[in-house]
Amino acid sequence: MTQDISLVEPAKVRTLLVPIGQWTRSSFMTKVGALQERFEARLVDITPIEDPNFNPQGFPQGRLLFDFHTSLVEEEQSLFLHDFEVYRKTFVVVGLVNAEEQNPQELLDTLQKRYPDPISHNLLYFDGKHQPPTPNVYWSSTTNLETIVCDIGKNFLEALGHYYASYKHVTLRSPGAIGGSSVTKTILMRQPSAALSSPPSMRVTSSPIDTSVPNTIKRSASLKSLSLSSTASSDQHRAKARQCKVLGNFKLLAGQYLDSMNSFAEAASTLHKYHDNIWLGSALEGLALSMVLLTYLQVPFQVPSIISSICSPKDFEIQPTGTGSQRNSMSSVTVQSPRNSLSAKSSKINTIDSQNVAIPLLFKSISDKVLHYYEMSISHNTEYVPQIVYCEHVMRTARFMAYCHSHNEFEKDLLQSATSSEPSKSANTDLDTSSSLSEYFTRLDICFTANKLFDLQLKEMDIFCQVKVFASLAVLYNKMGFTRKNAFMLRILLVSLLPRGVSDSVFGVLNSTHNDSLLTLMQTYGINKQPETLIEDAANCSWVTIQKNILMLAINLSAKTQLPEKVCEFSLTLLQKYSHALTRSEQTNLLRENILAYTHVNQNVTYWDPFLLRKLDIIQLENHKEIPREKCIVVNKFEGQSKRHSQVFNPYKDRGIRDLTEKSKAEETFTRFLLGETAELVVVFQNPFKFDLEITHLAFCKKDESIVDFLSGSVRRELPFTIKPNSMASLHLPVTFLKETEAVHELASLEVGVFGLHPTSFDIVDAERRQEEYGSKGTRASLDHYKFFVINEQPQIEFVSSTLNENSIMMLDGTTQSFEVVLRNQSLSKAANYLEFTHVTNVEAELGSDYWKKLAPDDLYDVEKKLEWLQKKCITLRNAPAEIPANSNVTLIIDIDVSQASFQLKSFEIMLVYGCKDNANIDSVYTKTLKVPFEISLRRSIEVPSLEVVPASKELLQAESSFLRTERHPAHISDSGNLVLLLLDVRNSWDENATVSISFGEFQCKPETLCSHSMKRFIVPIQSFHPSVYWSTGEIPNLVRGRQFVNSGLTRDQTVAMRRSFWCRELLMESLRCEWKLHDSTETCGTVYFRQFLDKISPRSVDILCQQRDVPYRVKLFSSTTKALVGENIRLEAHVTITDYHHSSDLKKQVQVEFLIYNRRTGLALPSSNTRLLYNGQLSCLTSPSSDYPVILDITPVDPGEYEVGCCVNSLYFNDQPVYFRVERP
Amino acid sequence: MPCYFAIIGAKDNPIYEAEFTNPHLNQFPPELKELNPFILHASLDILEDLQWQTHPQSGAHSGTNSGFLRSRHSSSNSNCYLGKIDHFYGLAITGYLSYGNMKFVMVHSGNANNGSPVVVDDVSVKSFYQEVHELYVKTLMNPFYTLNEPITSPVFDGRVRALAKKLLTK
Repeated sequence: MTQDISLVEPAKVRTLLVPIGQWTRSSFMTKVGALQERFEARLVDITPIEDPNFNPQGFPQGRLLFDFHTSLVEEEQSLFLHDFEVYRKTFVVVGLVNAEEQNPQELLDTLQKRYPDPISHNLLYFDGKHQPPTPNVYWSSTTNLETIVCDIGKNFLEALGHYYASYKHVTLRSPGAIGGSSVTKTILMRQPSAALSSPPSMRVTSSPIDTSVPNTIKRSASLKSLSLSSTASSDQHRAKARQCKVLGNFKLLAGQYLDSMNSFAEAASTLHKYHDNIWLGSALEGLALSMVLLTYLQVPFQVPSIISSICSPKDFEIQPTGTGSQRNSMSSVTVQSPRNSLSAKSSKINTIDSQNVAIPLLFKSISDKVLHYYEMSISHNTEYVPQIVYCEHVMRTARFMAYCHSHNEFEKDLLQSATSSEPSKSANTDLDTSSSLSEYFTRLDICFTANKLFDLQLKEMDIFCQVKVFASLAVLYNKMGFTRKNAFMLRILLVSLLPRGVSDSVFGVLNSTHNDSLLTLMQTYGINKQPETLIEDAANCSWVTIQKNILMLAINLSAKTQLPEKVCEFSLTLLQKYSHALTRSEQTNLLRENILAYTHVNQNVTYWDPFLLRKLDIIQLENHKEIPREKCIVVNKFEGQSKRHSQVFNPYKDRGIRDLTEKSKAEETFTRFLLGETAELVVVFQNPFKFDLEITHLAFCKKDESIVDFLSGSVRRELPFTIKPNSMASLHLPVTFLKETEAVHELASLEVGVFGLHPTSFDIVDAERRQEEYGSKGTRASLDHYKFFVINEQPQIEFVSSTLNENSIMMLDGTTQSFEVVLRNQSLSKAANYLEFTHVTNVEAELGSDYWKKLAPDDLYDVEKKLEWLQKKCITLRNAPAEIPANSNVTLIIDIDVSQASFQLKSFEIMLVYGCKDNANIDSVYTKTLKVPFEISLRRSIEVPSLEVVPASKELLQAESSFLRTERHPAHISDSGNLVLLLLDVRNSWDENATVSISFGEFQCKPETLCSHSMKRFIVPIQSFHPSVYWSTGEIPNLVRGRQFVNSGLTRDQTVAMRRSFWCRELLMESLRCEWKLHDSTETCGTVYFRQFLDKISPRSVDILCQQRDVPYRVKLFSSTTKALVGENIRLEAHVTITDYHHSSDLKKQVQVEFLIYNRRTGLALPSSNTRLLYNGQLSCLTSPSSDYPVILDITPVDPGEYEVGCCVNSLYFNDQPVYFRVERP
Repeated sequence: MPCYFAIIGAKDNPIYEAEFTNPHLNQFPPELKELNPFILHASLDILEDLQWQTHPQSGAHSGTNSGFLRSRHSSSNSNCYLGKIDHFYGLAITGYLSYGNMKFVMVHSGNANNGSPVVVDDVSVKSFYQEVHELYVKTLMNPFYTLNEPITSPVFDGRVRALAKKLLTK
């Protein structure tokens, strides 16, 4: 089927090519193609025939134009037009014979029987056999095709003569009269009256583009319709004119263009006279075509008078050297001439020569007239123009205009169909501008002409006609470069094919060109872009409504033509690219009915969204075996590098944000997994669609499969996995690691199958790249990797048992104990040959890392002393092994010594860091840590709740009952002046009696038995310490180095006092010992750790302990009596002296001496005003230390009791020995 | 009369689409509603053809305008209006071309469904286009708007509709 309406169609001889014998489609089509190339036969080449009408010699320049086709479809549906437009009939049948044994004559007969309508039957043999010549039978092996075509032409002309002879006596009826109601009447959308009654404001409004026929003609038409009632003779005239018109058509077919022009002209003038509008239109059309063909053949002719009588010649005439005035006169003549006075004008107008006429304009104006007459016929009952005739005329006109637009002169391709001819712009365009055809019409003009078609109700037409019209329009627009219009026409064409009523035969006729049309549509509407992968396409928006519509059309069309693969393909495209424009039901339907239903047809269908896999992670299970950490066991390897700048303090080091981010970037985090370990794979899928997405297959890629794979059966259990619409969902699957990796392994993609489609590899898409960040190039997805490392099997050490019950131990403070622990290496192959035992107690664990910051130096010393001991002495491993062989036990003996532990100790952990060194020189090993926790509860045994220091007065020493007298070391106490008594309260808090022995340096107390829960005071006489410079200048030692104390916040005096107190205490600690032994069956023994019982020593005690201090003043106190009655006077004298230890400049001339009076029993100071002792004036007074006069205080006691009096200078320096006195009642 | 209006960007992408209907008048029939973008898209061919016309007389039929690029000496945007550029069945298509090659195209439908061709009132349609052009230029000045991106501003939409109500769907 010719999809294009050829310009010269009325001049073409329809020829049916029929395959006979054995043909393959392709070889037959090649032969058809070869014939179609040689469609033209010059009349001069054709053997003359006798017939007077169609003798080729009558017009040797003429051509026979064959229209070779292979289908009779059009023939059937245009049967009613065969009288009106005779060229629509198929005149010639040519049987193409190949490999056929039958006799040519018989074949010819069969052909005639089969196709009785055509008038000429021919056979063309393509196989090599040569047979005796038979009329109408040709052999391509002996004769070339051109000659054969000429011979066929000759046969046709002969037959045409006979055919015409039979036609002469037929009464020609109009198609409307033949076809009756089945003929589609032309229905004009616009009312002809609309043009007439257009408002006067026409100038400001855009007039409809198809310029309406001038009013004068309308008026004349109405006049003529009035006079339609014709006489009897008019019918005869009309019939004759119709015959004449048909003759013209036959002549046109026979190539006698000059004759045909004349016949048409004759017919037209008569028909015009009798207002047979439809035949008149057809005759004028033939006339125009004859003139075009004559021009093409460059045969000069004279424009028939009828033309100039109905069209105004100024529209198409060329004035050779015409001046303006000449033209004016010409036009004025034509305009003024009354239209109906034809004869008067004819003589003058006849003289128009073909040379003076612009054929394109002439054609156009005739065509306008034709349309006008056709339109006039519409109102008639039978004599109306069928729509297809009207359409084809418009199409032919538009085609002709398009041809003119693209050509400079008439060329051979004028005769061909538009699809095969390419616009050829010859080089000599500029040489002859006057004759250049391209000037006459603009593309806009062509469009307006073509738009006339849209005044019709094209939908009412037969589907074949519709296809023809739309396809031709599409070709036309395409030729003009109007791609969008072309696409629009194609779309209309395809849409018109969709309704149910349209039979499949249309598609057979269309010859699957509609698929090409679809591709053109995709191209034009930009559907072939790839927004799903390319950034550029995703960023550019396009006309989604159109694109969606086109794709839906494509799907429906493919479904109608039963091309499941195409349906599937287009549905995929629609779903992939335009899911956001689809509703839920549309999406679901596409998926269920168009894609999944056809998967068996198209095996290549895979899931279409590249953003399926959004995240992948492998999580170590909670109960997994501990993953070894890589530990660098070679020390100092990188130390030099990292400490390069440590000499200079750089406060900004590692502080900048950039540093932080760079660091985190540089540190590639990846997880380590053990060989054979089970972990959990978390895969996040994304479903952008409005239906449930089903994951039916999941696997690792080939290269990953050997390293990591799913646990058998786990995938089957989890799948199919459904993802809800417009959401992301994560799937958790157990995986196991199969092979050790040399380096970090990257997982970049997974094999995923969706909806049972063939699984494909999907990359992990991390995020979308946007144009703003990444420019317009490249792919849209930013990909991610999951990195991990699989390490070989490692030793596994487990705690088996210990000798302790439930790993708990109860100990008495100050004792030691030991226990055993059994460990086992569970690994069957790997020995743990890197072992590192440590332990940590709860005391250490609970300390903050900055515990030292807020502590005073002496407190810190205590704390750190404790920590040091906890770390080094408290828990010791007696037999640390060097290796624990595979699958074997080892017993460890652990000593625990709580003699110096504080009561805070509640628990401790033995930690074993172990690993396997394959190679002695290895830098790092993978280590694991085994922690064995133990509970410990310390019970209080022997405590020292308090310690007091008392100066040993002479009275005490000399007292009869003094136990000091009975002491074994009298030498020790010989110097009573320096003797100090240490009063220790020792308490037994345990349930058993205990024997306690206390010693101080060389002095040893007698062991005493302390009953359970009882307390005793021990008195230890000690030598007071010698004052020395060392005390105040000796710093409190730091046990931990490298700390920076900015400022302790203490004044110098406070520091000195602290140091003195500290060293005093340290000296006491050094010498004080206390051992105890319980009176129980095991004779548990232990020692008392004084440090945790003794508080800091108060300044008063320090003064007592160290009398001869570095003080500038010394004060001595004397009392007049030690015993007095109430009311008696007691005189106290204080002597202040200056010691050597001072700088004279520091001394003030006057110092303040102050008396302090205590109640000896209670140890409390008496208030300065009281009712027990009366004294004169104040308790303090100023004195000069250099003077020899003592300060005197007289006291009169009022209350009996025992009192102690002290004295101090400047509130700083105290007297060494207090004075006691007793007041008794008289 | 119902109208379908669109601003088309450089790559045939719609920047703005709107349908102006009036409850008292006819609406677009659904099948035509679907076809409107296609009709409009197809007429872009003509618009582009007109864009490069140099012969005044062969331009669009409306007398007020002719070739677009000959507007060099005229400071007003009066010659951006191309008038009626196409028709399809009973629908008329008018066009307007901004200096930035943005195509303003509109499909006019007749009041009655008798297929009679639409008479376009050039004066009001032209002023509608000019006003929308002004709105578009204002949108362009928005620093957050990039060329050729769809206009999503409800203010723009509202103003265009108000203009349409005032000038078109009377």
